[in-house]
Amino acid sequence: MTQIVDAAERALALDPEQSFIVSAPAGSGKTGLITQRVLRLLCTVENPEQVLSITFTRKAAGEMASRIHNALQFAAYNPRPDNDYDAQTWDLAAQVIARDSELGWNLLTMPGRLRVQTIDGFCRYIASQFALETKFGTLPDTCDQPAQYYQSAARAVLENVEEDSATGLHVATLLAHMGNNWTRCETVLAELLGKREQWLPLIVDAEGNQAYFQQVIDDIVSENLLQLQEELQPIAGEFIALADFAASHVSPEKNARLSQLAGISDLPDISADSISAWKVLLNLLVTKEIKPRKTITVSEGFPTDHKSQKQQMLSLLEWSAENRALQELISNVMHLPDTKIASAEQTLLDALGHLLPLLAAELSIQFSAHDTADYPAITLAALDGLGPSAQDESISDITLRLDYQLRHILVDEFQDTSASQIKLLEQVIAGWEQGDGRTLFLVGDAMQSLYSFRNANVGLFLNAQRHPIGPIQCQPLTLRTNFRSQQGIVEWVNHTFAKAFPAHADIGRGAIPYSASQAFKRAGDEAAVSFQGFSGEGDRLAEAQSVAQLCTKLVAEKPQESIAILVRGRGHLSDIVPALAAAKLSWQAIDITPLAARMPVVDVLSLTRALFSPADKIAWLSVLRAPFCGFGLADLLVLANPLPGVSHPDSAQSSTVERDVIILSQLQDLLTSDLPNPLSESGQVILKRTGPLLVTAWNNRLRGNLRDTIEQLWLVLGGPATLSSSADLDDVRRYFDLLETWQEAGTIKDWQGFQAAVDQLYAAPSVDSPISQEAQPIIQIMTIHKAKGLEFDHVILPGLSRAGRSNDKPLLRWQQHINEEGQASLIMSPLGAHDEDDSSVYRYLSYEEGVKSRLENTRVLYVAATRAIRKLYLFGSVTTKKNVWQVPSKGTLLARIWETIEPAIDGELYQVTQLDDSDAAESPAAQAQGVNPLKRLASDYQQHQKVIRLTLGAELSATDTTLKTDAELSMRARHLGTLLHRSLKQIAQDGLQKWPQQRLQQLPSAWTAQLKELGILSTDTELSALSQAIRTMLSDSRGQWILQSHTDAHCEQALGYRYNDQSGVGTSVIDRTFIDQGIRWIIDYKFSHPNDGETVEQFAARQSQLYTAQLNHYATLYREMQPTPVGCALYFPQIPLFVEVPVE
Amino acid sequence: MLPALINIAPFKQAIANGDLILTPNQRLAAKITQAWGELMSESSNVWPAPRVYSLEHWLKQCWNELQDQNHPLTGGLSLVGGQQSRYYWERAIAQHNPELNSRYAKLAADALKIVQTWNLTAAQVPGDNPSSRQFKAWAASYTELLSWNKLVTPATSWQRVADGFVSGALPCESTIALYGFQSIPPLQETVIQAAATAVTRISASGSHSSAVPVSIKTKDPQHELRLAADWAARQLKENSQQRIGIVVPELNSALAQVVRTVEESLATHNCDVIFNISAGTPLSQTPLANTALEIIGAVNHKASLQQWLNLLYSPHSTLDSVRLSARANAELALRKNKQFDYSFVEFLTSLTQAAPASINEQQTTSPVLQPLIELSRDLLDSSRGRYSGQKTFSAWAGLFSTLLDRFGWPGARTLNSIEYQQRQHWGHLLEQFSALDNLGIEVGYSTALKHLQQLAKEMVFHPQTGDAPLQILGLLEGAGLRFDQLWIVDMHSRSFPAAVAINPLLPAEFQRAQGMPHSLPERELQIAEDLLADYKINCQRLILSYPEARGEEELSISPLLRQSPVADYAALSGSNEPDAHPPWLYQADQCLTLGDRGPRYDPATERIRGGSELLKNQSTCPFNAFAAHRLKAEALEEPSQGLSAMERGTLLHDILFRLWRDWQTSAHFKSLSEHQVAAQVSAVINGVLVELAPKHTVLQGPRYRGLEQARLEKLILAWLEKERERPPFEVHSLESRAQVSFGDLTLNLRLDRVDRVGEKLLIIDYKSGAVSAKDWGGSRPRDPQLPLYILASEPAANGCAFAQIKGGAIQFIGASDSGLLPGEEPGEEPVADWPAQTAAWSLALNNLAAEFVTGDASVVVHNKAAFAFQSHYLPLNRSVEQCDLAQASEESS
Repeated sequence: MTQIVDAAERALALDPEQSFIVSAPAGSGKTGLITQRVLRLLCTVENPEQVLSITFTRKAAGEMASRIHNALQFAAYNPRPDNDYDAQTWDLAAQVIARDSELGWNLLTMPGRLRVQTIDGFCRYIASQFALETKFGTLPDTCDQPAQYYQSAARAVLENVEEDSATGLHVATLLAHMGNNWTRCETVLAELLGKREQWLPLIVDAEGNQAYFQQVIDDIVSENLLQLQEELQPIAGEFIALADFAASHVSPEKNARLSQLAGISDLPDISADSISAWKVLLNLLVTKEIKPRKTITVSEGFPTDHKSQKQQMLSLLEWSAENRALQELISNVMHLPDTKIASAEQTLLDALGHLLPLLAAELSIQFSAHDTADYPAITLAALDGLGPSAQDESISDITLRLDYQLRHILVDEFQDTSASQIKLLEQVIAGWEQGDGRTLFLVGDAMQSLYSFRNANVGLFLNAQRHPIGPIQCQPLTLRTNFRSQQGIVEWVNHTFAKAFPAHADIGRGAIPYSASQAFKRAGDEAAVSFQGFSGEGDRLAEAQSVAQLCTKLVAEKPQESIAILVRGRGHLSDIVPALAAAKLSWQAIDITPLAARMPVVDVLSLTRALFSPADKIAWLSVLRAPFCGFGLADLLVLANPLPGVSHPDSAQSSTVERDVIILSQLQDLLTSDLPNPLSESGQVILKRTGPLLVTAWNNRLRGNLRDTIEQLWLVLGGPATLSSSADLDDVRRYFDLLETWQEAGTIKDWQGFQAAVDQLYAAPSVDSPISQEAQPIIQIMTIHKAKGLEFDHVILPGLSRAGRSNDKPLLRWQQHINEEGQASLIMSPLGAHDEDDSSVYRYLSYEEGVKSRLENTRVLYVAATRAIRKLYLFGSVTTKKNVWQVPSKGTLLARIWETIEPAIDGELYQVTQLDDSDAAESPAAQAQGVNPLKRLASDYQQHQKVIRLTLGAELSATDTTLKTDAELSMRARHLGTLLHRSLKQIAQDGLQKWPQQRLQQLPSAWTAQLKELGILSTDTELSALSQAIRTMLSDSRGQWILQSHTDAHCEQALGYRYNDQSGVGTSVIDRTFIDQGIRWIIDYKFSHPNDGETVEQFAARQSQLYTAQLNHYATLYREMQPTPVGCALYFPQIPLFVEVPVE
Repeated sequence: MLPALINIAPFKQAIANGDLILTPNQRLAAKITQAWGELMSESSNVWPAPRVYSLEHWLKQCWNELQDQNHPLTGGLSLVGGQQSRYYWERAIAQHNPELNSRYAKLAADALKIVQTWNLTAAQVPGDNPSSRQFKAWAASYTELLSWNKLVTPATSWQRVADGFVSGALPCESTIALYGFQSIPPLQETVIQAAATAVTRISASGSHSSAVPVSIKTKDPQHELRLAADWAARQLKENSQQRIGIVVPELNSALAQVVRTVEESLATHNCDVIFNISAGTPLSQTPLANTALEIIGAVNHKASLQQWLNLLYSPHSTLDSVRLSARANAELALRKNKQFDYSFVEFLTSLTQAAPASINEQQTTSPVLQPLIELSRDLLDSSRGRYSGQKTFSAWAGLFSTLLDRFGWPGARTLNSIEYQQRQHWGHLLEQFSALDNLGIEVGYSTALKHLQQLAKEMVFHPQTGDAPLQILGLLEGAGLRFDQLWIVDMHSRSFPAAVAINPLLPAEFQRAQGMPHSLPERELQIAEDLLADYKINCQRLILSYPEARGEEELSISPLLRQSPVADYAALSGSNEPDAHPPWLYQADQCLTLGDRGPRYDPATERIRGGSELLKNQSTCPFNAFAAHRLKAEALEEPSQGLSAMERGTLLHDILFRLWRDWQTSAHFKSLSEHQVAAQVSAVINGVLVELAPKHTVLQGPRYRGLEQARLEKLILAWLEKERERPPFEVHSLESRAQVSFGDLTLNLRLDRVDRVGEKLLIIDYKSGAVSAKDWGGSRPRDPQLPLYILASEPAANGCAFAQIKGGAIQFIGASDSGLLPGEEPGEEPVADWPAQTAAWSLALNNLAAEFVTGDASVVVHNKAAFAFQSHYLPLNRSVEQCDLAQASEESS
């Protein structure tokens, strides 16, 4: 077994008393290490919940949880393995199991007790625990499409423009700066909200502090100058002497600024005021383009006749050119802003300092109104709630207030954690003390930080290596063993990336130097890394074909080995996928093809839009042209213009309003009119088939689920028969699934959000393969970001010479600056006014942005290269000029490693194919002039049996709808009746003697309470009516008879019965029943009155008729139970009236 | 007949004894009554109904009885209702923390309920952390508010009920039998103990041996559901007289998906049975109620465009009787205004303009709209105060009903049975809403609406169906019911047993020490085990499944299932797994690919719009030109604030038109002092902006208009500096119209300005955006505007130029035969052969025009950038499939 070089570090990392920050390069087995540490920590805590592991993605969280759980299971049910590493894990797990049974954790049956969360989940967890402080109450669900809320918040802020307030004036300043372009202002503010995690915690310092931004800039300048000064120290004396010489020998007309330096005796100081002097000095070392000078002439103050000084200078130049660190520093300094912030810019900065916090507050209002939030909102609210100001009183230790006291926190992928997330972590552990037995364990790889676009800042990783997180200083550890890749790859990566990564760490920019790995696996038989370049016309096609050939070869020769093609941008695959298809290979593209780019999906989207708005003419025409309809252009022309002969009342009348042709109306007109049909013959056939379906679907809109409506319409139109593969079907159904989740009340309320959600879906990674799955290994295609954490035997990296998407100039640039002490501040600068140049701060930030993005490019390529287990294949285009290889452009990945590639081109491994111009790709299939291919369902198309039965929401039998409620009135009457029933029941049960007058008098107060429960504030009239009814009944002899005690008497008796005509059972409740003189009496209380002008007799007859059936039913029930004769009656206590109802 | 959903045998003794039987929910109680009835009906026609109630229902009955006795224990108090309670919580919280929103009401109510049902008071909660301290303060205020209003919480009433039993006010039961409980909180336990001499538990076991559950692994939740549904359909196809259950723990959140999947499976197997589903949707989520709420919400306030459009096209209002084309045109009119929000009156205006009464009628407005117009007057007329001021809830209920009547809700379309039921629920909703009168307060329109919306969100709509062999239930709802076969999904380790979730307002330690719900892992494990045991004894066959993954997240089997034998689908169902989609979706591609071409343009029968834009579009992509100019398909306008680029261009044109109309010659212009020029420019701009303001709300604000004025002044003055540098000229024409014909195609043009420079004419076109000199060259000019003007000018012009007037880019870009422009650099020669140049333009433009006239609508992209700007045509031009189709037709030919 090969020696593990970092065994000591790995052992140390398990020390449960200490906190660590671990650098774990690609393939170093960090998940295994975290697993072991979690097991180790579990042996030291009272509850498993006290150990929390945090990962970046849900997927990683799932993996981590199952790793730990599997280790426990394995130790519980399997013997100790022989392998050293596995045995170590087994031992740790066995100890946990022992503790588990000692303390009754039930970890094996309750794996949920192992706390593994994503970083977002962690923030949510903290926020939910501090419901009071976050001001959220119940945490809202997070939405995936917050853009529209950003937009609304931005608009709300801008709408203050007319306000007579500071806000109004600041908005005006902003608008004026943007050329009074409201839409652009709205857009930039909305974009800013998406990144507020970066600026919001810092902007508070800036508000109302005129000098803030200038101070930050001055600090940055000084910091850079200090670094430069240190780097120049070895040659400072010599350099100043030469500069003095040059200054006194240069002609003041030619270079006034240099000549002013004459008499200089020391390097300028490192204050911002000296920046111009520094730049003049540095111009001696570098050219205008900031390239190392190769020569020096009289224009720089070195006349030819002063040979010795010139020679001295030249050797200084040589030294400087070879010092990479110095060159980086010079370049940085040369880009530093050299002017003070102008007053106009300051005004705008003040405006932003005022408006941005307001903007964020406005967003909270939007979120709260819609009961939603985005992820940063949760984190920021938690930060806010737990911030130092909020911790007024006794909460010295936040972890004490959590559901379980956290004792150990492990964070994976720490390099991708954002500043605010780390800040939250700091606040959570603020009450800890170094060495109190509670620990942090931060793991990550600064070299693999890829998520700057998601607010990750790799500088924070470096920061955590040097400075404490809250009260806890973590001890840095570095892993060096690579368990994944074979030795050849590891060595190539070491060699190449040592040069590609910057020489020095720089927290502010997130620059990190390379740290080398050592391979655990032996080298393979063949060379590990190859490069294939192409030069000349058609390079991309040639590259694609070459990739396809390589895949064909690998598939044939190494069928057991995995292959992946990794790209930076999805667009880089546009030639490769067709080449793979042409080579009849199978592949699986993960999150590559946007769903919205698949025509069948576009067609169902058009169908959705059409049913949404008859005014959406493009949608309607698109539906008509889609294959399931398939109207030709001539027919579309007819349908899109006023129909001949059909007169429209609205077009005939007013001429002032121009009316658009509404396609759906046209279809309705054509289907119902007797006029000659202007459509072509085939058009008429199509209309006859599809027109009624579209009209029916429209007529039945909002009946049921929107998904069903659209899907069924698509079905009956013949949609499935227009698809060319099952992959198409998967895609269309994915769209429908999305529709299902977005629909509300049969419609889509947030159409923009839905559109954005559609745009974010990717076609399913279905295997587009002509051959069955087993027969061939599948080539995985994905982005490098997606591939992070995965590994493949063969990794192919095409398109290395393609630049990333170049960003437009944003309207605002800002940067979080972290100084050497680890303090963060914000620097911000707006794009120049619409008609002016950009400020020097803005240009500086652009430069910084470029530097950062190139640093990230290096990391991206590092991630890609380290996915390979056996072999790595690089592809790209190269150009020559006068037989010299040209450096690829800055934004490409190839540029990052060009230093390694270039010298070895035309060697054994790195090759370039020169393409003849005649090789240029053949032009795409020529199209006959003016003829479009039109895909259309064949006229003999057979519908599926099942589909024919669909009714598109049309109800076959409709219900009678003569329903009229007078809710309020009937409700009161009903509730009063209920109360009277209850009181009568009580009186009958207690017996009349138990209800003396005095007790009766108290009834209204009880009724008041009872009515209030039923939602009625009773009136005196109502209460006295109720009282009156009771009194009347009690003084009525019939009434007394009913209520007094009898044989076998019941109130509200519930009887079950069988329906006589059909199967099934029911229950009836009888108000009052008893046996008196051999007769079973059944009495139903009623509270109606005679109508106006109705005599009591007429009333009695009417009521009797009304309730005969009901009483008959009751009578039957009692007859079934007893042979006793039955008498039925209605009793009206208010009148009082006793009506005996004859029953059969 | 279907077997009963309850194994009734173990109940026989208890029911015969007349024991009181309590269940955790009303559904279970009803099923027991039903099952008993079915048993009894075998031998008799009538029987005394058994005494089976849900625990809460029984407790309420006991409280009622105390009230009916007017017993001192009730103290004249009433139970506080749900919405009522929320109102008092909000008030209580606002007393202490006015900054906190209403979302705390639920948290606090939940916390108090737990505390009370644990036989504790809020005062007994330890107050050593800020949340619980705050909660205690809120709870004290809440309780005070309740007592002022003579109200009690249900939990308090249960305490009184317990006292009632102890004191003998309520008659004790000899035996209470419990069925189906996983756990009973201490307070309820106390009441039960006080109410009965003996408490027994009924268990379903004993009748048959409990099922041995099998477990099955599935790919993801969708796959899992599909298997369960397919299996159920197969079982029912075989025997429809058995009870099949599918238990879906997250039923509420996946309702639509579950219903659809089950329906698809039943249809796949031609299985003609119905199913019951225990979940419903909030009433507010049903189309009918949603429309009603939107109507009430929209008419009294500004509402968003989308809300108005929803109403415009809703079938549930009188607007559905307005002609469709009129409604669609009203949409277009609204969109043209570009506002985000519209008032009811603005909405009605767009509609009345688009839908004037038919010619024969005397009225100016369509009769359909008349009630709406009256309604809008009522709403606006605050003097009459019908819809303004503070009113009781029942008064609002009446007003809202009237309002809906005026709106013709629920529309003329015949209601189907589901809609009919929704309509009935709406009535119940208004009753509940009126019942808020017991708050004893009066509220304004918006507050009333807010309460109504809240109630509608909470009222569950559950369409009625008959008894069905297939039951789809949530995890707790299925417990205690008897099935022949049962399938439970989602049994993965994260959800079963459930994770702990404490109430954040109460200290965690306290909750755990008291064993409160969801606070202890051990308790959750116990509940899960009990639940599983209960399911086992209640069915003959139990299938438990879990998904391997949910999105990117990997899931593992619930540890409680580890001992269960693993089943595979084929063995379970006797068939292969169902396909990913229902079989009728798998159809062979039955399409043909034909050649299609656009018909020739015939000016006699076809009216088209568009000037120079037409040829520009043709140049970009012939299909898009066809779509824009012949199909007249335009993208729908979206709301936007501020002036659009096009509006700003128009502004610029207007200003320069007025300035040069006044000045006419460069000599006159140059004779003016700097101050005079500035003053005139300022006055003209002001004039234009003021004239425009009525159409653009944003210009009505003085500050924004001031900003626009300042911007334009700076821009125009900078431009005039450019004009100052030019050789002497006089304005020949301004905004002149011209026509140019290419065979059948005649284009109407409007020339911004033609200057006479010496003897020659120079055409000038103002541009406020980007322009490039390259755009009018070549055989397919990307922007043929200036060449068109040259061809159209009469007499023929000698040069043409774009005047680019854009912040930061102010210049002439053009060509002429003799250096008519300023700034034509010395190196940049005038066009050497002007006639040849114009001839080349003529040829190029004629070709484009001929393409258009012949109906060439090919989907060929000649100008990628411009094509990208026309992305709204992508669904129509189908450019993404053109390549595939071309290939396909090649291969087939």
